[in-house]
Amino acid sequence: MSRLGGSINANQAGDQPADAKPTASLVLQELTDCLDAVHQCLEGNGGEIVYIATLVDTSLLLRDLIRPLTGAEPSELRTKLGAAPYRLTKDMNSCLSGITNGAVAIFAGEDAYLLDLSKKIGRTIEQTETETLITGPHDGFVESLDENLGVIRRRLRSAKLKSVGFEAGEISKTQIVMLYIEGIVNMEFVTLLSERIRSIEIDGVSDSNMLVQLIDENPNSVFPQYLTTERPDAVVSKLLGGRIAVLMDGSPSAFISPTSFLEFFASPDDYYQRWPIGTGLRVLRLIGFIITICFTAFYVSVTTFHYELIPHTMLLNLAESRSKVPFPPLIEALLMETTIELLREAGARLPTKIGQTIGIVGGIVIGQAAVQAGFTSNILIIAVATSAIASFVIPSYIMSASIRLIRFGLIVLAGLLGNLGLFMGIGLMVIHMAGITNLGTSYLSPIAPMRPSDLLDTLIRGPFWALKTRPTLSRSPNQVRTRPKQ
Amino acid sequence: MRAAKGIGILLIAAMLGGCTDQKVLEKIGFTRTIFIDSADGDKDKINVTISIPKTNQSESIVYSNVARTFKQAKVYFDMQNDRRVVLGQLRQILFGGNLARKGVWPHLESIFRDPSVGIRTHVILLEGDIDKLSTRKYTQGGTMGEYLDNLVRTDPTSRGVYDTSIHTFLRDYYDDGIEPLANIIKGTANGLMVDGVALFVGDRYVAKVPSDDAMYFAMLRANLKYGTLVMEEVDTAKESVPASLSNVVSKRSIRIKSVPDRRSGKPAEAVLELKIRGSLLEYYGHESLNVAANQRSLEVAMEKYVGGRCERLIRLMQAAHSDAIGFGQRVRNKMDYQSWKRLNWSEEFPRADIKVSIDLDIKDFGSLAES
Amino acid sequence: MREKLNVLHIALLLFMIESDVAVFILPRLTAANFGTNGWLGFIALSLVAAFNIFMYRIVYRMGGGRSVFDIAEAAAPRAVLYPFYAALALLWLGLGAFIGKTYVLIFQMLSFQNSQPMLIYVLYCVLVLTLLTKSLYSIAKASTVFFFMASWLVLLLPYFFKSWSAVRFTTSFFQGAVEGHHLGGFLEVFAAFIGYELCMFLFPHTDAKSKLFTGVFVGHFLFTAVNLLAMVMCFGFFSFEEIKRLEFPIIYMHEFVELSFLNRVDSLVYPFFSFYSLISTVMFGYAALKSIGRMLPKVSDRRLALPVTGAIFLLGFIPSIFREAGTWLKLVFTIETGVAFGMPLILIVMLKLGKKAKGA
Repeated sequence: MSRLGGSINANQAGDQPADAKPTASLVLQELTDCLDAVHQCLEGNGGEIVYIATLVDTSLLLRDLIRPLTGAEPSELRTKLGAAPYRLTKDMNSCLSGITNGAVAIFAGEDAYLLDLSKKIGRTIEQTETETLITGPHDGFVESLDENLGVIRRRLRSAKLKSVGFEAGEISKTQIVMLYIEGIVNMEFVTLLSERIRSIEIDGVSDSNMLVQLIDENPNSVFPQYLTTERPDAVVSKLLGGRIAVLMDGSPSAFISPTSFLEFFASPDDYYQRWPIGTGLRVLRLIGFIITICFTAFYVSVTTFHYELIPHTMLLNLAESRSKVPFPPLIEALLMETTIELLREAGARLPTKIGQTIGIVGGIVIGQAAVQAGFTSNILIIAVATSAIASFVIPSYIMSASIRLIRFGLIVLAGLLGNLGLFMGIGLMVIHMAGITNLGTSYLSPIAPMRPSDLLDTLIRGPFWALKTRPTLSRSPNQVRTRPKQ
Repeated sequence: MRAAKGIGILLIAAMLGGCTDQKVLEKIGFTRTIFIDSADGDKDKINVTISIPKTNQSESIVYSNVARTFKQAKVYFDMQNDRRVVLGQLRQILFGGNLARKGVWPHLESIFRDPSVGIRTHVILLEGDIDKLSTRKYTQGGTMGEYLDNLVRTDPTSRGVYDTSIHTFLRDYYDDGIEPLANIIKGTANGLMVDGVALFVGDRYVAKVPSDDAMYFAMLRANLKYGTLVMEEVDTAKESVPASLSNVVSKRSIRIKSVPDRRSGKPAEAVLELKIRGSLLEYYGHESLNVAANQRSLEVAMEKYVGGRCERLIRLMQAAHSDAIGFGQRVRNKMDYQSWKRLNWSEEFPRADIKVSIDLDIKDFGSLAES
Repeated sequence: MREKLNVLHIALLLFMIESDVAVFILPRLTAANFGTNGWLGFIALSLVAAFNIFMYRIVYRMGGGRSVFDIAEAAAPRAVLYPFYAALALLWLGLGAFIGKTYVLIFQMLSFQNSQPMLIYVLYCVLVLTLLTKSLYSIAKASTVFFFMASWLVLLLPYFFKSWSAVRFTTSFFQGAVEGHHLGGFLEVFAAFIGYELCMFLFPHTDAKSKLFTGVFVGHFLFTAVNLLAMVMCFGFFSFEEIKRLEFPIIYMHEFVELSFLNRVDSLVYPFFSFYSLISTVMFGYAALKSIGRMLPKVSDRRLALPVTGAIFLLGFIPSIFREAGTWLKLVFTIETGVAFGMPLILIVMLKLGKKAKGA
């Protein structure tokens, strides 16, 4: 593991040699200026305890440590500490990291012991805000790694589910756990991803969505290259499909790899519906994708260059509504798109109740007043609103944001070169995607490389009897998922 | 980074490239109708009128000018219009009768050569005073252009009217076995009406199929769906009464029995077969229609009537040397290329012996069993 | 974990290479050069091209999948070969450039009459550059997506049926060609197929599993079939004499489409075809890049992409009007046809020589 050479804190025990024998005074010296660091003495035996009050469950502390140890004879104390759940710690480094992880350090005589009494901090399992479903499991990941792992373990009760731990962040020491199912996953991917995670060099990571940007192959791409989700059921189904899932402490989202562009358009919902409905939803989302990137751009292209594309009566309406607008269509469209984005951003930043007000106010202002004031044409309002709505159909918020950004580029191109500009923009997007890889797999899979069997579970959602094999994207050594009924 | 650079170059180039060609909707005047007729007095000049609808949809701007060519006239329109005059939304090209008799080709070509003109643009022969017609208000719908557009496009076969467009005109003009057509439109007291079909030889208007015959002509020209055949005098053995068939479906087939022989001077022989089927929804006779024999005799009488009308139409075409039905195409397909090329079909066509054979079935008799 | 090209990729890539602006004028070219029912002549030429591909297959088999450069260099000294490489690179650069420029000129005629064509061409070159900097595998992936993006055009076909009539095909065959039948005319039609010879640059990217030539043949016949379909639609939609005169029959066919929400889809369809020209240009550029790269083994392909695109851009200055573009395109296509046929013959001879040299 490479480390930030000689930076802020090469090891936990700042000035002290890392392998020095930990004593209460040395530890306290390290913890100077930590308001929540507590140093107490045990009565009757000279034992001292040091912990960080904010990380430790005080009732447990009282029950499991202070009560049993208070009043014990020094020799009795040593025997008690020698057995579980106490563990001996020999060097400063591990002692300190134990304390910062929520353990209590007990100093008895020469030796130091640790007892893990960390308290649960943060939310308990609750519904995810970003990926809600109507039917299906309603639990979502929370910020605690243990909870998240537990939720998955409860769903996959198999010893084949492996969890490999990593640590990232020079200062934050964030715990990262990589999950995969042995025998289904392609081990090459596991090695590759492990290497990537180990080679992260940063002071701290605060979310999975940040972590994936540190390990992806195309850091400058607008597209997310790892699928992140807050839904345990999604993670489980991907694990069963032969993918690797990575959880991070402090982040309610897991990321999944390898993945491809079209997977961002799938939602666990699709599998809980009957397959024709699931298929319909998939197709709807793809239409939503096309509308999002093209609709406003097409409006601009038509009103600026290709008036002959529109049937005559519709054209007259369009011209009528455009006639009062002082801006050229390109500027008009960019203005409106920006306004919609402002509204969306304002709604996201504000508490839900005020957020709704913003929606209503914004809707009225844009929908009515702007048209009446001759500020924009009503058909553009329809186009902009439709493409905004369509963008929210995409289940992955990160992908939806990327696509909304691309839309601006396409609008500009369409405003400058009409349909050719629009198509060249789309071409550039496709070319760019053709170059993106995720752990060496193609981002455009299963369209390129073409895997007809996988199309059954990407463009549409095939019936379960048809989804017999795992996606080829996983390159799983165990291809067959189900055996057809005899 | 490379992608960002690429997009940067793309944008700059696009900015420089596209600006001059903008046709922003509210800054262009899209011509809907062009009318061309020969100018009074000067035989080399044409009278060009264009009509540009206003966005309120109930008025249109009309310009007209006398010039040598269409493009010359357009220059003059550009000088007057506050928006750039464009042809991408052109819906109709109207030709006046006088010009059409002399030949429409150079003008049609001049318009079609412009890549912005679509091949779906209607080609129509207009009878009447364009100045009056184009500025008039129509109760049927806004401006002349819109009314006319709907008139020629709406369910054309039920009135036996063709969707005659630049495409059909060009196609038949270039084809050596068929002649082009155009709808004839004329002004009436309170609107416009379809007044039959103009027959052409090459690009010259030579004869007119009257509107009464339009349905029969339509059956001769192609298969027909949902037509109405109005028969004035169906001669059964006992009486001669009006009747009419609705929801007519007809199938046309042309059989060439022999091709023209140059040596013996024998003309071409052809049989045009029509299979007609429709509901009898109008019958002024007194025969009881639920007697099978009467039904059959009525059918025979109708066959005779329809056959007579059709043959009359074919004679009309033959007299005008205009093979608007496409017998020539079939004759061509029966001959080898060289002898066809040696043949002058428009001379040969009037001499051709063309018979019409009708097979008419009455599908049902509507709501009444007895009359 | 590098993936090799598979059959489908090869087929679609080849389809995309063969398709370029020529598609729009093919009906006219066949009608003008073969005469009535000229589409039959197109089938014949397709078979000739297939035979040519077969010759490449022989090279592939004999060479055991070695790259053509390896084959050539085993038989002849580099000093002799380098001028040929240079000449071929120039030819391919020219082809790529003229295909692209012609596309731009046609586009300009249709919708951007007053713009500076070179500025639109710059855009085109930017796309070429982004593809050339990627691997062949990425180019294949992009072309697969482009292919499927254009597949909706098939949905327009039923629209033309009601105006289609078999009578217009006429019953005579190969009559009424504009200048009679002559080799130049056939070459003009044959140019539509040009591009298949680039399969020799796919040799190193394939293995036994990718079934290179199955893919090439599938792609070639797919191209033939699609164009045949377009031509058959055209011959029944327009009259024979008319096709000979229409500049871009396929575009006018699309003008005919009037849907309730869209009219005249031609201005939507033509920009779509930029992808077809693009892949043709890119692949000729790739061929040139490989030839130049062979002469400068120390320079990586990625670094060559920019100069190659630059050359394609500069060559684009040569034809500035439609007539010139046509003349240049005809010239390079004719030479390329010669190269396409000559290359496998020379390579077969070289393979024999190489074997002899090794044996001795």
